[in-house]
Amino acid sequence: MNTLQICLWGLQIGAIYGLIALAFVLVYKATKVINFAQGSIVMLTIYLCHAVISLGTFPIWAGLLLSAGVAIGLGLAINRLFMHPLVGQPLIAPVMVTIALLGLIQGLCIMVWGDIGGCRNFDPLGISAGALHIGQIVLLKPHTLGFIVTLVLFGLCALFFKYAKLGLGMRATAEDHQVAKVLGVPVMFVFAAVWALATLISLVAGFILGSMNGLELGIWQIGIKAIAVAIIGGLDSIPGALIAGLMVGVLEQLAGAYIDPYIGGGLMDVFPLIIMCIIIYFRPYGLFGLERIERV
Amino acid sequence: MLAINNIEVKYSDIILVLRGVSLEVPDEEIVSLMGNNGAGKTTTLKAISGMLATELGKVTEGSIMFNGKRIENGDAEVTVGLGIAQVMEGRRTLEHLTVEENLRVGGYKVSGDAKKNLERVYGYFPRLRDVRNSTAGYCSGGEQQMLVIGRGLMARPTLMLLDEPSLGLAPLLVEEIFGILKSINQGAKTALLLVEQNALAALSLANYGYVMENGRVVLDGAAEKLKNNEDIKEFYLGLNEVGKRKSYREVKHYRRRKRWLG
Amino acid sequence: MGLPCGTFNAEYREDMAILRTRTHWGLAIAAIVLLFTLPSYLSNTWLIVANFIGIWIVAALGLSLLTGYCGQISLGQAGFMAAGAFSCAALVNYGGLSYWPALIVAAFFTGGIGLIFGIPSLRVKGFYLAIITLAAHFIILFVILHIPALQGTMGLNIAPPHIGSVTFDSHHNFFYLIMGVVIIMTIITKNIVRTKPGRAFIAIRDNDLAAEMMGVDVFRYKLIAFFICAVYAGLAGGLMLGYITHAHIDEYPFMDSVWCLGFLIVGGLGSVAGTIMGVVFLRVFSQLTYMYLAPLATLLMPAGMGTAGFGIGPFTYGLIIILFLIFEPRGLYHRWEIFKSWYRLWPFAY
Repeated sequence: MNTLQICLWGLQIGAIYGLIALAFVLVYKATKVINFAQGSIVMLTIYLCHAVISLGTFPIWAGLLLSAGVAIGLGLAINRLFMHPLVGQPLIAPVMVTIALLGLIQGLCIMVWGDIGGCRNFDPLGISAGALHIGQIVLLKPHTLGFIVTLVLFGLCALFFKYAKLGLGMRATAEDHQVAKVLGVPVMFVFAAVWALATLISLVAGFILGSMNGLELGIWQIGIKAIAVAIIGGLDSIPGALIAGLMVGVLEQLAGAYIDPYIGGGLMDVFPLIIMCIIIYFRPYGLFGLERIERV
Repeated sequence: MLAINNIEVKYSDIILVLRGVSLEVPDEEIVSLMGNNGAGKTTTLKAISGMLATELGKVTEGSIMFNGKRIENGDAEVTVGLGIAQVMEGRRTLEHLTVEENLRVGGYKVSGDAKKNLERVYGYFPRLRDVRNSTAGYCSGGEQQMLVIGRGLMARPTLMLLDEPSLGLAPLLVEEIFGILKSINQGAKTALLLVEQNALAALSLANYGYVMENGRVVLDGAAEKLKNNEDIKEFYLGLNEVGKRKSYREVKHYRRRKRWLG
Repeated sequence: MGLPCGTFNAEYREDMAILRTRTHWGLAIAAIVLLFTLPSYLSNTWLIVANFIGIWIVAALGLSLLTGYCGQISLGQAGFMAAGAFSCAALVNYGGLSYWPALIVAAFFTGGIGLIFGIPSLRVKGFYLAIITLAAHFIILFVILHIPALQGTMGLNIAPPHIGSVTFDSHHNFFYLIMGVVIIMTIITKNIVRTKPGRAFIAIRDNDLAAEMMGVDVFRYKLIAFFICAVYAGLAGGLMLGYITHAHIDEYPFMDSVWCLGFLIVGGLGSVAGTIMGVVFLRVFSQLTYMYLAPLATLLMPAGMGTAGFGIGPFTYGLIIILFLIFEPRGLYHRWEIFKSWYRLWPFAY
């Protein structure tokens, strides 16, 4: 295995981190809620997608559309049931709700899809086993697909925020809820839209993760890495999420390849967290975050 | 156009802020609302625009009519659509957005040609055109004030509520902005409800004025009449009875008592 | 603090008293008597529940000081408990210490680890800090797993602790040990809260910038809070080790850190009594869930191999915490206060 190969894999893994971090950043930007349940939501959406697809025999695109609908519904439900009643409360309340949601969703998944430790096959596109060979370099198909999809989604997001009216409204809401409201931006609608968008992105990320490794009940842990990525990039920066994701992916893979053999493995799981602790110490608002000035 | 009838506003169901405020803004006129800090001016504006709900406030009595429609305790987003734009106190720009994006957010509720709308605002505030692509947070105070007024104008309102547009600005800038406000009033046929501490500037712009104290309207009248009112002169214009500026050398003077029930 | 009618604080001594009136004393003594005779009424199942409640009360009291009083959210309490358990086990196995000194040393060693993760509080605050503590949980477990002597995947065993000829090897015996520790730690906590550090914590929680302006050394007190919190966690971890005589990282999953925060929310942030109420309520509830709801869930849910029972726990925990956050964010303690003032004034409405 040469270094270039490792870096490319790192970029591909990192793209998925970036994608999940994007969902995280979107929610944070608009509502200022740190969504600790992000990983669980990825897990739930992909299990739901699996359930929808295996419901019956309809074409794959219909299954995907249907599960996208389910994911959006999930986002709207989370917003309406858990976030909406807490609007106006101190921020700690909705954040605690997401922490509790982390456990609630995990419990739900274990109850419904059980068999702890087991792994289900998930390969609706039939790409799990495929690989692309470019010279010496081997790229796995689901990883490559994930990389491309991530870049496209980030591009779409950038365009959406720059040109779409709702995107502009979201940015205004992110800046200042009161001002946005007084200018006629439907803030509650924006919150709902953000959650819907975040769960939709979670579904995409989960779909790719599932295609890579199958479904298992530990998927939620990727949410922890995604939080680290989002923090490294700066919690409110969308390009930051992508760049930090790619960076963490590469560093993690390099650490896994070159340091792990000496310490007995497992470093990849905590490496993003260690990077985050270091970066947060020197740049408290992440690499690309906006600094807020506080006064008494 | 706008008629407030005897409204009472409570925050958190407990703090009574407005106790029976009535005022009226006729079509295409400028009305100014004056008073000390904490008199309830801003609360009155928020009651009109529907922003009270964000601060747990509520209109508990009375009514607010806008073009024959009751709008008290309405939703701010809806109120904007009806044609009421509030310009909040303290130059609340959306800091990390550019000037033009700020303006576009202001036109969120307006369907139709955004370009034309923008040009109209640039027409009133030529200075904004020069800084259209810079980040709003880095603009000067005067530009930011113009920006928030222009942003309100983007909603094509028939009534604008302005909360202290002169706050913290140099006198020359205040004059410029008030000049623009006058031209907006005449050109766009927009009525203005102006909350001001700077009573002299406000009264020279407005046709009619109200004075508030402790959540009540204590005095109202045509601007000219108010300007000559002895109480106003003493307490808001800083002039003594003879009409000269008050000299603080003669500290020992008999304080004029307010001639109204606070 | 509301005092009964006709009771006034006329001296400092009276003002500082935790148990102010004769009724308080009576109730407190009755409660302690009840507590120590509890093992004779409880079945073995519930005795185990009670023991775990005791251990978690110690951990939650520490977290209560850090989160409830000092306002720094921590998602790493279970990680710190693991650190306490493993350092205690290592001291017993390799250091040749007996359990008791090892427990104390391990608690303070864990406090030191808490300090390390408290240092970023110099630069970051709020939820950023919460995420650092979240990282702390995973980093601590990673380190434990990779120190060969700790035999991460196998775990370390110790003999049951003993005092003289009394060995704490049964649920029954251990109950007295744990409750003793709980009472001592509750009194210590209550006193930390009422003295200078406690007031500094509260000032930092309410507004750290203002606290700094008033001369509170914010960084120092935040570090102290982290230290105390980790010491409590280390103590709880050491007790856990003594109870199950085994240290293994699977005993300290990340979700336990989350539930520890949940105890505080359900009980009421910023109150010692509330913390205890929260732990008791949630642990008893989870036991009931496990006994009655889990079989039901296994029947209803499609998952094979009866795993539904494992899922119902986190599910109901999460649900309860969310319901509390939405409907009673001030927790059980607030309800208790309402009840007390109602009782005090009864039969008058107010």
